[in-house]
Amino acid sequence: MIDKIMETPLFKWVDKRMGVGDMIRSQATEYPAPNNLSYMWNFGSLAIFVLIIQVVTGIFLAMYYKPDAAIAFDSVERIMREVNYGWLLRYMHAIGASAFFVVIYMHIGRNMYYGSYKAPRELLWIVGVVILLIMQGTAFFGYLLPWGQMSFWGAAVITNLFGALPYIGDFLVELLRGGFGVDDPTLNRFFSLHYLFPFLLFAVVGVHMQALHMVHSNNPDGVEFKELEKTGRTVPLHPYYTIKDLFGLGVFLIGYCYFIFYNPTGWGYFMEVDNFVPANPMQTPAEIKPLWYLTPWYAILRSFPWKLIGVIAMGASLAVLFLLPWLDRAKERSGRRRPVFRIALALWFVAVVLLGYCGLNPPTETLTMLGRLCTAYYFGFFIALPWISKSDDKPATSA
Amino acid sequence: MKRLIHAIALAFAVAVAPSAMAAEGHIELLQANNDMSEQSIKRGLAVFTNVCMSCHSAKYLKWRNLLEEPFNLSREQVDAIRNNFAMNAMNDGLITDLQPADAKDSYGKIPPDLSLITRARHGNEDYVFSLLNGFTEAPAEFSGNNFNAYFLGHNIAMPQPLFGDDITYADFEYLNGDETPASLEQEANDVTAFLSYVGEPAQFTRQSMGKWVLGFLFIFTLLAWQWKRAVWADVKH
Amino acid sequence: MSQQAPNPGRRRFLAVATSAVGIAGAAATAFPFVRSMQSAKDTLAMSTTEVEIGLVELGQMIVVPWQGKPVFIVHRTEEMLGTLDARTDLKDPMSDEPEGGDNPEWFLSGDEKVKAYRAQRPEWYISSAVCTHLGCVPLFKPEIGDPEMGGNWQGGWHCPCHGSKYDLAGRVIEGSPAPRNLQIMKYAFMSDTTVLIG
Repeated sequence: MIDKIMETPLFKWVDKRMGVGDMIRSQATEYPAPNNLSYMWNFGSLAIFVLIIQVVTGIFLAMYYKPDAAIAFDSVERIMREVNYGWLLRYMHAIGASAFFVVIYMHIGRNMYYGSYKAPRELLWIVGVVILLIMQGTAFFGYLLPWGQMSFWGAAVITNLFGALPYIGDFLVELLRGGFGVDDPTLNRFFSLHYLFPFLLFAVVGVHMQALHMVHSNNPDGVEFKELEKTGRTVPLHPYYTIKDLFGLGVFLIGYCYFIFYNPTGWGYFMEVDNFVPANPMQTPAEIKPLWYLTPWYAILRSFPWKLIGVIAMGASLAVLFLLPWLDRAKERSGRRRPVFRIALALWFVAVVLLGYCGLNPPTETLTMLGRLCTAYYFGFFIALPWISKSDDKPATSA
Repeated sequence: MKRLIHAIALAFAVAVAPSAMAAEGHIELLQANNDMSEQSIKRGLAVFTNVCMSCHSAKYLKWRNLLEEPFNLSREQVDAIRNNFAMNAMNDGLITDLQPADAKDSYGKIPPDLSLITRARHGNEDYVFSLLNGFTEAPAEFSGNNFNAYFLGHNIAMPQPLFGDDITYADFEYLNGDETPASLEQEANDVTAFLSYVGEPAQFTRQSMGKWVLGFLFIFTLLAWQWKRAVWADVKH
Repeated sequence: MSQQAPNPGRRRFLAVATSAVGIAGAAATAFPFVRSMQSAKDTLAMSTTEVEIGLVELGQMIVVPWQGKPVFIVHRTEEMLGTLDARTDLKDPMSDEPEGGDNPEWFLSGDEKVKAYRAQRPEWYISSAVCTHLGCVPLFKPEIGDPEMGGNWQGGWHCPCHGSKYDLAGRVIEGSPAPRNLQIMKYAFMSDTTVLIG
């Protein structure tokens, strides 16, 4: 069908002036992808789709939302009650945030398992980690906006953390807050930054795609792409993967819409109970915690009784991701052919999930111990990786 | 890959199972009857405006909303209720006349606005229902304001609001001669239904739209799946 | 994956069906977004305004907001009403324009007096304060024979932007760039001292 469109006079007119035809050919209809990608490869395009949902719903919400501490909470309720389909916009956006992280964690998990961060894809991976960080920033800024109890206190705790840094700590905290505590200036600037960051995301995603198209996709068996091309084991992105992605999109939308229409609060995980109470600087809620997608790092933070070490550890847990391509020294890419790495990584995923669980719950003795154990494993995995990665080593798959 | 999935599933089971049971060791809540019928919500309106509004507001519900679904009161019926209060313009919310300063004097706390109460408490509707039924006999060692079996810490500033027969439903014109006995349990269920509605007026629309959206998506996904299979049929992989 | 022989007919059908359904879905999704940009329910609820007119003296005009726009209310004297009869200088003395236009029910079903005085009660003139030319608010010039207004000024309004003139019933005077009389709207007297506009 696309070829039919590309033959029309109108298309040819535009193509002559903008080279659209070449773009479509090089990026889609003649862009080679491995023919053996599993459904685990759907998450990249899905992430772009969710980003678009978030930006579009965000823009329409911003037509009514008021970033003023005195009326922000009311403006959200106004959207829920008075704005036509405002409730739908709000739920799409709130659940979309969680959906974004589900998709991206699946995407990252896939990259780690199949070695998609290995040469020549190191830079692709690094850009990807940058995307994760921008996403976390966006989510953090965004969560303050409804100005509920959890919004306020979550922001208070996290902005407070920066104070632990020596010399620049207090300066940073004041810069973030715009005052002594989290208040109206904080809300206004978080709104501004929350609006900005997704557009940074588009730019970085563009870089990510540029890097990807240079080296092409990895595949579940970790076979070198050049090898696949040589042996005719590639297919053009369009129509094979565009249609497969469309199907994957359908499956995703079913899950996404189930939550929007039948379970918008997601059992309290997508929209927290405490956030239906307007922010009260005089009273802390029983528990302060971020939404589920930030809880693993929250748990790492809480694992250390010293504030500065906790902050450094939390930062390190994200920074260490950048080093993965160099810590993993195996020639073999795919986890499918790396039995030792596979187990170690599976346990790492378990550790992250358990850390999330710890972060979601109050820090009892048991959970604190569990959190520390998992934190140790989290870092231990990366530290041990240069050695354990060699134990699976076989020459990189050629056939 | 399969083993990876098993490992993650196991981790989830471990993670979720304990939290599925009571956290913080709190008491098992009573179950609200979840009757979200129009009549139940309207009875709840009667309870709320005649009892609860002595101290509580529901500011996000406006007087003019009582003219619409699911209340469908007439202008006169709305006037009869709203003219009992100071904030009685049609565009005003349901605001109590109890001033914050007076509330602090009498109860030590400002009674919270109840517009979102069922969404703002763990246990949601069941919690609100339980609380209203929870003013049971205080244990001997209790010393505080008012004992409530379900309130965290059991010491609640609010004195028991409902006892049963606080109002007679048949008295209200907009209830159309409803003979339902106003037991404590009934009033609690009705006002909980009312508050649940006020917490999210869009809920009925949301659920009815949902079936169309999901139905459509199932069809679309089925078609997309078959299309994918058809396109991939000639690829050996 | 099942290895079925490629069936181009089936492929074609599925391509068309899936695309059609998908596009329909996308279009349907656009609907709530566009709808959300229309007036919110509380905005629509602001469609009426109650005005206390008990303190407006004879000959006095007040301007009140209604739906975010200004509205003239004049407590007209007998003398003012006298200027409304037998006018030859008006573009549309009986408010016929535009054909089937925005005139409210009370006007359309009113008698000649209502149509001439353009009011439910002659002493209370209520209309939009927006000049029908390009939207400025005309200035009230009630003084009959006002030398500033020159010639035979019978009282009314003068718009400073482009010079349109209206009589004391808001009817546009010949020579004005404004095409139509000031817009009258639905209103009702709740009492002798309160009127509900809209």
